Amino acid sequence: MWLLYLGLAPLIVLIAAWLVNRKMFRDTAVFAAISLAGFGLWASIVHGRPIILNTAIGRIFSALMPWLAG
Amino acid sequence: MISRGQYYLLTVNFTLGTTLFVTINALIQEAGTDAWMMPLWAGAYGMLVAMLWMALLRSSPGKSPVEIARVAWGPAGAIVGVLYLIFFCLTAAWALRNLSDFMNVTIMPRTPPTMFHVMFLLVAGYAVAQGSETVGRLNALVTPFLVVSFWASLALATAEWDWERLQPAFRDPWAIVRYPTLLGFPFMETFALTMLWPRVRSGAAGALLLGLASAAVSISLMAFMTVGLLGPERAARINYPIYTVVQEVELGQVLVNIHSVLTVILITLIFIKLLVLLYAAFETIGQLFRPSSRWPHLLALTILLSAGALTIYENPIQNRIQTSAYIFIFDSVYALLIPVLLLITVQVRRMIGGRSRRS
Repeated sequence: MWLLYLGLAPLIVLIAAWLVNRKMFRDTAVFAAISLAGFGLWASIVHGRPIILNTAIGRIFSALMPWLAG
Repeated sequence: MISRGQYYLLTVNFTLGTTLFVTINALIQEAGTDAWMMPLWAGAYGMLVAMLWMALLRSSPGKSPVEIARVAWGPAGAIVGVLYLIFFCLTAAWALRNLSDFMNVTIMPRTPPTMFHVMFLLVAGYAVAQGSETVGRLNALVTPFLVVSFWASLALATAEWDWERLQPAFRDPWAIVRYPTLLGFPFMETFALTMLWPRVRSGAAGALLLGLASAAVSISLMAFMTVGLLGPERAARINYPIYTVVQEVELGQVLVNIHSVLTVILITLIFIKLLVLLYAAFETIGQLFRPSSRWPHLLALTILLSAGALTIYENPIQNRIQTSAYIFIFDSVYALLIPVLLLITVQVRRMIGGRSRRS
């Protein structure tokens, strides 16, 4: 867990700060969006409640099927 | 720019990628001695779907599907672009997890899966940052070594061949109807290769179709050989039947561990699949958001995919149950539904544009 908050979080913050410093705001937004999605997944793993992606996809399609079938 | 030959080799290796790991036993479980016929039907379907992609890509020369969506649908096209980014990332996470599962089960059981994921992502990220030429050339460079050593390893295993294991034949030629997963994975996943289409000098259509056909024949041949060497009952129960086939090869006291050669071949094939998917995801980011930097986004993708590979599924059994239920529909949305809608939009806009010019 310490690796997540002492390793990964500062890495994301430092790179985002570097991009802001270079006035690359669009790059900062894209980088932050993708890396924070990854950070969220890592946090779910570290906290013992991983978001299982193929189950999530299955749930989405299960919910959509009756709706699509009319 | 990459050549037609490089695109052909990328198509073949991308399609074979994880398929040789995770699909062969499922095919044999489904169709028994006739498992070799399923990849041929699936390949024919893949070629039909690829013709649809070709019609779309030819309707807007020089543009990728993500760019076509942006032009055709405006802001809604950007949402489609994000959906494609998610599709490429999920498929890449699947490929990475298949790789670490294989390594953990076979030769490196104590290495944490994340080590494999991060190492592969860093190397693939470096290659992708160099551009499409590096991706194409790297694949063209390794392919001859892969082909020769792969088929040589299998040829050595043919000492155990028994035609009786392939009997009775032609009893279940339409098993593909019960197992449509194979149509999605791997054949509809090759949609990722359309992101490289604008970078091919000429003759991309022929290369893509021929690549899909070659991959289908290779998978079919692999299923045929696996049944002939292990028998349908045993092959269906083993997680990695091709690995087992080569593992059992023993030529005197000299050649006893050639399965390590196969391991290298299989991880290289997966690396190539990852390379194409990472390239597709990176290109999608570039075409959607026009960033001025490269490496921060590759690093962000590394963070996302290394976590995604761990959470893409719980275990191989859960993965097989889930993919059997949804992968065909999931892949159809991205590789069939959206391209069809895009093609209709492009044609309708062209018709309307032509009419307004005439009036």
